[in-house]
Amino acid sequence: MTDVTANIVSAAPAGSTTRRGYWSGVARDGRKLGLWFVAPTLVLLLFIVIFPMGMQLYLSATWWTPLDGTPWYLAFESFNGGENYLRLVTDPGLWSALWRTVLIMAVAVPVQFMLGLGLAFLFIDQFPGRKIFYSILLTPMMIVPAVVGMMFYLLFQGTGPINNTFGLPASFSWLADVNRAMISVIIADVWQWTPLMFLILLAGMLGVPQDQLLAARLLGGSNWQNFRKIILPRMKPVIAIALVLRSVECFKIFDLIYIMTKGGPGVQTETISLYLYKQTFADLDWSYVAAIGLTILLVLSLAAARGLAYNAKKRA
Amino acid sequence: MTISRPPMAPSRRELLKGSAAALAATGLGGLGSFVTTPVFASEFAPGMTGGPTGFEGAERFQYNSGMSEGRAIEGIKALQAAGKAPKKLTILLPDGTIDQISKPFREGASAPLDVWKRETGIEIEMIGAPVGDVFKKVMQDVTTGSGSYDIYTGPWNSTGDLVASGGAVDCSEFVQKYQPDWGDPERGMSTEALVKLLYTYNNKYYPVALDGDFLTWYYLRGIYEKPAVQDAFMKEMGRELAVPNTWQEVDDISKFFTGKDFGNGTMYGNGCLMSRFWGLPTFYMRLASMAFPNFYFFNEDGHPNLNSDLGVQCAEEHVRSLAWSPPDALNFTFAEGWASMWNLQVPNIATYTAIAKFGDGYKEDGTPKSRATGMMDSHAPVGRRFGDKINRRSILHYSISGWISSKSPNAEAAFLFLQWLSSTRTFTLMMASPTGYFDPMQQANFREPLVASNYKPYAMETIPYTIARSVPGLNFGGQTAMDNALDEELQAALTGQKTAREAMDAAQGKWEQIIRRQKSKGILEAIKASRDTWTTIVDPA
Repeated sequence: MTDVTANIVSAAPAGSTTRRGYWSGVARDGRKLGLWFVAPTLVLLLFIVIFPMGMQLYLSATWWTPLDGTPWYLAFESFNGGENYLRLVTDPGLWSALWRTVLIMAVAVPVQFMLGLGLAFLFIDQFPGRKIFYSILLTPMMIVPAVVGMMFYLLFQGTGPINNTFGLPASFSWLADVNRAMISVIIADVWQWTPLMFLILLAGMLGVPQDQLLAARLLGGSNWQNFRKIILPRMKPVIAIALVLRSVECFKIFDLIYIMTKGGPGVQTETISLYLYKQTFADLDWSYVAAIGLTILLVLSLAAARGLAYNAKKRA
Repeated sequence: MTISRPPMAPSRRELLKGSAAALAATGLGGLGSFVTTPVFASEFAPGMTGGPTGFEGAERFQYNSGMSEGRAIEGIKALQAAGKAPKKLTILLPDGTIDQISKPFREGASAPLDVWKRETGIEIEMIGAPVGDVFKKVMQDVTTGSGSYDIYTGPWNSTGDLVASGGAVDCSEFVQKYQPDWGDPERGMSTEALVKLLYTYNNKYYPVALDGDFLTWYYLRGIYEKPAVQDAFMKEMGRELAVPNTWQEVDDISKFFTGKDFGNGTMYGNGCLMSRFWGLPTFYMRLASMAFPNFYFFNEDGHPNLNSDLGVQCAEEHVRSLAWSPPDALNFTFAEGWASMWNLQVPNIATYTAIAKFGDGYKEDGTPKSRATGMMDSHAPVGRRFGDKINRRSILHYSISGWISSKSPNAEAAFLFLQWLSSTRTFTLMMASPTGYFDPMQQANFREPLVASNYKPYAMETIPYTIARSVPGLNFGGQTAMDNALDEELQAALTGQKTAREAMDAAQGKWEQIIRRQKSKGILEAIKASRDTWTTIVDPA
């Protein structure tokens, strides 16, 4: 390494002693060299992360909307201090959308987890046709969410296959009913994403050392005892990953609901993503959306930091 | 009704000045060579120099330089001679409209776009977007300043939002210069108020109407006329079943049909309630007729009237009508609404006129387009009785319009294309297409047999009758947010989350808030200008 850098330094144009001195210093100082290597990435990050966030912060402190007919950088003309942030605290539409998002997460993710876990447990052992069932099981998660939305939109029509199969009258509406619309959305989400949970959990289960399981069996441990005492504790990190992944994805749920109900009836299935979409493209209230976006980012970052700290403390 | 004439807006008479005056005004007099030596003269009817050729009846769509389309073509040629014409124009439009422009209405006929290309050599690049998303794409283009399109299209209602954002060009100067025939008393819109409604915003020419989404009433005459239906109605309501004239009669009929089966499956009486956005115009129609001659959505000072006693009464009626609607109605878009009539599930619907084009009649293979084929008919808009008068009201809602992008370097050429496309001959040719979302609204359209074969002879009088009795939906800056706020509150009332009074109070509050925020941007002036475009026609009861 030293030889190579020495060669580079010696190849520098004559007369640039100071620069050559600087670069030879850089070449010798691992920290400085590292900094130069990551500099392009830092500049890129600055452009794709810091600038948009700064722009959001700036807009969120104004009343600016595209309807103003002025470019965004002149948004300061309608500076409002922190009124958008005060508004979001008292915006019932936002809070109810948030509540519905949490509700979907709180119901769908545990159901997906339980189903995924059960299926994974069934798939630990070999059985005839395992590969075929495995492929079939994974199919839903490979379908584009919008297509799943359309499928369930058709399935849940009053005169659709579900009502026909269960002998329900056409007047038994799923998607236009205040309560059943949410259930329909959750069913669709569970149908699509249980396979992912299954896949992750199965990978976790297959990672449990077989000798331990075998020993437990020889010692007379039942399946349930083996699952509770050996498999589950060993799978904790995998379960945490699966739950976090699905929770985050569920928080962002959009396509499925947009296709199935568009957030309706009324706003009964309007999640935070749909609410933001509506504020952005229907109401064109961009400064308010910027305030909401930043607040969500802040809250989630704090929650994540707290979670990481908690984990670190527990490990210590 | 007195209509004050804006300084920039020419009257219909001015719009109709002859070709000589137009040529003089546009400075095209020196372009005689273009006028007198048409390229395809042998195929044109005597005196005509442009337009489609090569199929029976083509002469009905041909024009010369004294006509609106001809003036547009000559205008383009003048730009070309001056080196100011582009080689290509880019237009963003709902993908369901592209075929109407680019494909002939039948094999052997000329597509409008082919005629344009042949006469100007300018290519038109059409970029499609889903009809519900097209305005989002417009606003993306405006806010990013990317200037990807010369021409935007989208809902007429969004004109105010686009103008407020600075995204559209004021075409008043071009209108003055090229004199489109939108207000032709024989061929164009039938009144000056309608020209103002469709082609102006805040008394300036921004939108160019390419569609006639005046919600029109259709009903299943085949069901109405069944003796069993007539008998049952007489027994239950004590009168003969006839097409409704008032909202009360609509509700009576809706109530009667709901849950009954007359041999085609269970019916629901009300086909008008739909999901957010698509169901809103029905409420506006009902609301507009609450007072005589009109119930304005805003008072003269621009203050919303939503939570007035009449506003709340209207909301209560609207909510009540849910009981007579198909079970999934609150998830319906216009497409499911149409399907409910095509499947003989609802007897009445107020909707876009293409419902007849796509659902009544026979396909090329001779099979019916829907179960409703041969059973459909149309009727006049409904209203309320005030003494011996009825104020029948419909509403203009969505209605695709074109705007020139303020970022377009080819604004004049783009306007000329839009003038050519929207003028009464070319537009009528476009209406002959059995596909597409652009619907007829000019007087010339309704006299054209090819249009009648698409939109059905039974609607050829009803549609213009409806148009004349239609009021505008909201179309000023902040419209999308206002419609959305009202829609959301109505849906909350429909789903039992709020009472009609609570919903109207909340919607009123939101509207007031939006108006306060838009006040400095001229929203009050736009509201007042919009009042001028309301019809005051009333009919004998």
